[in-house]
Amino acid sequence: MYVGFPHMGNAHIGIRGLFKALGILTIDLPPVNRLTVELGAKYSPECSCLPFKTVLGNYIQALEKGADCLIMLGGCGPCRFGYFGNLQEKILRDLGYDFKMIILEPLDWRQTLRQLQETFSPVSWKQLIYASRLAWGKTVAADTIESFSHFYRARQSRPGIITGIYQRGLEKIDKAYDLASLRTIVKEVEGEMKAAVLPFEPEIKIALIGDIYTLIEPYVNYQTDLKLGEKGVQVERSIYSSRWLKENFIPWEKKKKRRKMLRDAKGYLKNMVGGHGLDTIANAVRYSREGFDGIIQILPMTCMPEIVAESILPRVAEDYQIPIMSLAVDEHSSDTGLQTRLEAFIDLIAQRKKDKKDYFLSKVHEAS
Amino acid sequence: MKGFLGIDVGSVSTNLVVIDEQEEVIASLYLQTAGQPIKVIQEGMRTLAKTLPERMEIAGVGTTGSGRQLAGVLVGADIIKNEITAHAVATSHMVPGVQTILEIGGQDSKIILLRNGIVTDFAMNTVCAAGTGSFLDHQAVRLQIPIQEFGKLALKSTNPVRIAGRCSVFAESDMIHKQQLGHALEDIIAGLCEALVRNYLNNVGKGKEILPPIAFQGGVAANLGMKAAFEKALGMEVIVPPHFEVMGAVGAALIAKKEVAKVGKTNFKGFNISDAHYQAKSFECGGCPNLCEVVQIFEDDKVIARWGGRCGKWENVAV
Repeated sequence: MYVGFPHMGNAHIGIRGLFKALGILTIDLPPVNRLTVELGAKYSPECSCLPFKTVLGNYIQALEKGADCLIMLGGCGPCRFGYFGNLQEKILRDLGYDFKMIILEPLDWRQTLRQLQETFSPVSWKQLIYASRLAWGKTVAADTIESFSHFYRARQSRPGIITGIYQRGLEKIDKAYDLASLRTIVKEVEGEMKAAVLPFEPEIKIALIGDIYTLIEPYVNYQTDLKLGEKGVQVERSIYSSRWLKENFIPWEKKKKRRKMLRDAKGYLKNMVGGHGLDTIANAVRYSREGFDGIIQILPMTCMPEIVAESILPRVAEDYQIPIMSLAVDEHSSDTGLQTRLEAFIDLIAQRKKDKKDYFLSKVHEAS
Repeated sequence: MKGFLGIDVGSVSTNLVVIDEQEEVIASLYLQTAGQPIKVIQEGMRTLAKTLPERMEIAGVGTTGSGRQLAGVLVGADIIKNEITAHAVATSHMVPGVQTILEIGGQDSKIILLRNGIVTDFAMNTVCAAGTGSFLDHQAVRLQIPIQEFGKLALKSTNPVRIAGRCSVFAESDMIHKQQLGHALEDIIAGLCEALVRNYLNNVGKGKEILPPIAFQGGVAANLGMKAAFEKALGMEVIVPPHFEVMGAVGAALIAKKEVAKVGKTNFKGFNISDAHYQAKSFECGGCPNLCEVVQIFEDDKVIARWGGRCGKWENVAV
């Protein structure tokens, strides 16, 4: 049996690690690219969101490469995501593919294990624990070096150097098969990055908030983090796969997180509105308080929870006097348009920090 | 005498402006890009060289618009700026104290809010281009009215018809329908202007605090009917500043002047770039599964710039 699973940023490294350690064969897909989105958009409902289309595109690519089992996450939040797996299965069957679909429901470990046990040859507890720890280690390692790249890219000595170190680090993490070497790789990557930066503080810090998939998958967000970083802006992203897993598969973490979100969003939103709508508001408030210079919300077109959040964000912007820009993406978005908005947003912030303005004009000029 | 050149390469028009040291516009050109930005920039430079005073020396160049990278490489720009910042800089200069800028160009429309001379918010149309210059052009051709007369005709209307303006294709169907019902042409045109303004305010201007003074610019600002419709919808006076159609280029020139004052020299390649042979070619990079489309700009046989790659390796011209 060959397992196919969709991409979401670096999540595939952990997932692949899990299956490999369990002795299950996987289909390795190329990163999300134009073909993925074209395939997905062709067979998706027009008004479904870009994450849905991209994931469907990945499934078709996997099936074409010989996958006969597809894995998807489920959910029961008031967002369409809970039905993605089911709908995608229907679409793929209509297209004539034959496969087994496994939809994992968060917060239900017992069912998850049973599903996996039923599908794959019996797995011992020892094996399962080993594989989970390895997969978790890989996910955390990949997320850690990604957050390093956000921090160091703004300080890099020449364009592209941090991205190169980061990419090589990911390849090493993908190949590593024990926890000790993962720790070494993370340390090495940090050392290399530290050696590749200039000793200055970036003048502008921007936080990225919004829907998880759109934030994490670089093709879908048009590499906003990289674009900002190359312009000398330090970026912080509100969510990583490892944090999401922790907050969704461990019940007490989930409760703790929800309490924190509700506390931060107090005065703006007091309900879960599905997806990451509440998180977006809570994170916007938190980043404003932490002194970020600007916030960018990235959302898929037609995403209900994020649209709710988008309509509340102007109040946060007003109360905290912080620029907030919302960027909606779909398969028709243009890279040029996004670049223009990001550059203008950086200018807007730089103008606000007028005394530091001259430095930035030179920086932006250099970068372009 | 020193001059500063600003070039705005948009999807529909390419504009060139030269300002002097007093920041007065002394020459401006409005050309159709017609999908051939390189040719148009070269042509524009040739024309400009002829119209400028003999003693004029270009001491700085700035480029803006969606083709700003390309233009920047061709002419040797001192600064390459996005069009939102360029418009804001130019309008603050022309309309002191401006708080709201409404800009409608060939294929995009934007709103820029300024407070105390600083840009505080902006928005650009994302998924809809209804109501931009291209659509008005198309309607003028269809109704066989010169685009210059379009706006004036709208002002003659006493009883504008309500046109569905959400989608430009449906707007056209609706206009045809209203014509068939026998409504007067000027009422239909005035109705169209109002529909487009409604669409703009609902899309781009949604949730934005529009305060006076309001400047209206971009090619569509030439349309008196649109200006009147904005004034009616907002209940405030709308100013169409001088050089409204080349505002982006004015902004680029102003920014270039500032940049050169700081750096002390210009990278301007001179007007003779109009004689060199430039060519843009693209290829799909197969280096990784990203399949980036990389654009290469050739000066004669030499590659002078590349862009479009995600990893940054092609940006290095020496490769």
